Amino acid sequence: MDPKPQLNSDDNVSSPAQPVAFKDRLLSLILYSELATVTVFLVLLSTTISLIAPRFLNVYNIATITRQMAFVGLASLGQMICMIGGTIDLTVGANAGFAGIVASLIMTKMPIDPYLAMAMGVGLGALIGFINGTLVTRLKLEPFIATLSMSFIIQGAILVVTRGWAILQLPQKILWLGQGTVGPIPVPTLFLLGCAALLSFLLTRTYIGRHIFAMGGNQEAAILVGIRVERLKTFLYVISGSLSALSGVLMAARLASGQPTIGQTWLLPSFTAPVLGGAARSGGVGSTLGTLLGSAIMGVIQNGVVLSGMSVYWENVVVGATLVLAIFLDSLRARARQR
Amino acid sequence: MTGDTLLAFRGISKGFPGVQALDDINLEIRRGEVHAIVGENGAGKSTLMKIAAGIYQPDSGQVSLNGETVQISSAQRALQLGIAMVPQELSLVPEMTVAENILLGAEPRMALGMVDISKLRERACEILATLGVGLDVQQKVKNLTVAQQQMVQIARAMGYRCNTLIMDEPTASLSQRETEALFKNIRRFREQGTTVLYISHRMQEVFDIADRITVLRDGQLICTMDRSTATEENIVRAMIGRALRDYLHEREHSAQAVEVILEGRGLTREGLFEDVSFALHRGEILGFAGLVGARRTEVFASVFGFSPLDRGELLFEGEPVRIKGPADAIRIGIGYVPEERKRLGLFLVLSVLHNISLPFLDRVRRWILIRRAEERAEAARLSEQLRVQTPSLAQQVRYLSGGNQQKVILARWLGSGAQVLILDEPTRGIDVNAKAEIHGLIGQLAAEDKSIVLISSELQELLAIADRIIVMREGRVVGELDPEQATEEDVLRLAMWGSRGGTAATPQTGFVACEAE
Repeated sequence: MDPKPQLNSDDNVSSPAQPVAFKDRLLSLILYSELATVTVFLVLLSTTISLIAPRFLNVYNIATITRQMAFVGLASLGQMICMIGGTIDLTVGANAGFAGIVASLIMTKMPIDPYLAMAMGVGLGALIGFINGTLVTRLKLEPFIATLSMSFIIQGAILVVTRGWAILQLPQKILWLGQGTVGPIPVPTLFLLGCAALLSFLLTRTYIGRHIFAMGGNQEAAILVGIRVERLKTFLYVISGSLSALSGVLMAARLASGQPTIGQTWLLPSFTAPVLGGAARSGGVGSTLGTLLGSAIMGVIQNGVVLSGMSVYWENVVVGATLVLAIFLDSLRARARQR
Repeated sequence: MTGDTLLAFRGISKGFPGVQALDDINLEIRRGEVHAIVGENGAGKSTLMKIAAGIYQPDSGQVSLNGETVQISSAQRALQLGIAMVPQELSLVPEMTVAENILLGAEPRMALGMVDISKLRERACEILATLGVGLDVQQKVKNLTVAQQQMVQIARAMGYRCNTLIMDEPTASLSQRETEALFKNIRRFREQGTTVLYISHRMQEVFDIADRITVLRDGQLICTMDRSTATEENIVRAMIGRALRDYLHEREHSAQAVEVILEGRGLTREGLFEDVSFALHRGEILGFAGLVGARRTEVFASVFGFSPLDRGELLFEGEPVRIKGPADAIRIGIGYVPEERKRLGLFLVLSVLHNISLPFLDRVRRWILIRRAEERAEAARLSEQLRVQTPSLAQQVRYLSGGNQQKVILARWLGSGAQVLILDEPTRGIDVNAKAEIHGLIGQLAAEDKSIVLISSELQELLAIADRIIVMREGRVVGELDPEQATEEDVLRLAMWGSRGGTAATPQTGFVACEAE
């Protein structure tokens, strides 16, 4: 859909010629349609894996993949929206853990309905998001440092509250949220898809979404067209915080216990998925569908590692390599955008 | 002044995907001359010079130096051959000092590869002295004004001791005074035997400084003229293939004394501007003239709410208003077209549609949902009204030419229903054709009762289209002129000296002597 690049815009140039060579076309596709790249990649990957391990292609396995990826996936959606808006949230994992712990504590130690407890967990995530937003917009702290520091504080809080112990025996009635299915589709996957749909709607159909892209694309210009960037940025952090917290409480339901380690490994994948899906680390570009596909790629890779009998320790290596690939693609696209 | 041929281009062609930038160029540059290359944006001027500077390689043809064919395969090689270029966009390192930037890559070294700092500063001071510029060489470049940064860029080229100096639109951000200082230097270079290639689309300057003038159009060399036989008429005709009549758009409407729509009283911001007052009438084009440092941009950044205001009042349609941020200003009905349109005005990765519609999304939405069909229709209407040339509204705005980008920004404010438009250097960096179009548009807007503040450093532009001209100097209003009566000298005199009837002599470029500590 995007046209071929022309000379820098100070030259008066008319429509460009069509790319001639196949190589040019392929390059053009990779650079300009992020969605196409990631879809093709996913398809190739899945095909390869299903050839190596035929067990890959059964419904139950696919469902399991989607359940696995839903948790980091929700956190990735939060990160994605921050990225599009030109900022960064390093508290995604810690938030998930904290929300999971707090919700677990509330539902086991207090006479509060477990669903309400989970909602409170999500509310806590929103609150932390609000704090993040305030640190960045009012106190003008650099987002990287601010959210990194917050993540330390939160992780510390987790340890203070749990002293390293898990909170066991969560009430039976909410376990289905993490472990159950609706038909063949796991419940966490439904949450992921639902949240993705909402975010996509927000980003593409509402004026708020337009403002988010503008702010991420050029914050100063955004201010000059009257966008209230402070409020908007805080809003992004609240969304991100809520999504991570949601993920954390769902994970607790799945594990039937509040584990202090929930979310510890989620930070890097939360970047990888959006970038694989076409988001620019510099902001102003991104797609929900792309992020979902990016999460899917990572889920498929992890599943492939397990199914093919590779030592599970290789998983990190493979995920790390995927991240490098994602960053590389991002920088190629950034350079293409400059031209 | 006439010398033998130093640099010759034979049959030079260069193409990029989709466009032939240069087509069979044959040009001879004489030793020791100041040779101007003029043409519209996209004519190929920069491309040709970049080939000489080793940044691009020609697809065909040859370059010869002193009669011998040379391969200028890299910028490094060009420097070795004595060709240095001062690019249009500054390539300085903001966090480094002036001295470090001037001698970047050519730092004097001591044993063990360490940089000899005192020699560095000394040499930097020397170079600046030959340019007649005084700057604190210890200062970080990011703290300098754009004009000063340009001087540093030029100083760097000078430091290479080249015999051919290429300058690409060097005066784009320089005031009149600084331009004259630069020209003094160029004349001095010529006396010393340096050959200067000067790219510009500013007629006045070209006539002021060049010995010979070459006109390019659409990648082809149209003609080369001697300064003595060239006239503005035939140069412009060569550049755009049309008569001069279309070049400057004359004021068509006249603003009678009508109501004041925007008034500023005693606007002050500590350290920047003081006690600035103005009254903008409905349907008027109010020009603001001044040299770099006059702080016109700062005044209106505060009016628009982008920057704070320490003291002063703003009245819109007679009512006092508090503008705490651009959102307030926009709501009241003020629009702002910033000087640096790429950095502050445009969302380069977004489409033309998105760029236009951002401030008026409120009008085309129901609750939070954007009514896309309406949005598109409105943006299309505006785009047509302003004659924005783009293959489609979905085109990313960074692919548009400078002139069209500027029109997108204008379309945006029209769509937002702005009654007052603040235009800060709206035709900077835009070719002759588009410039005339924008002048026409500004006139049209005024005729439709929109009120315009026009901040411009091009005196001709102000005199041609403004109804009144307010002159500022160093943060204060120093006078008001009627463009029907005033001449460029009058404006300049006010801008430089702050009062009428100063001496006509050009002031010494008496900047503070080089402070090398």
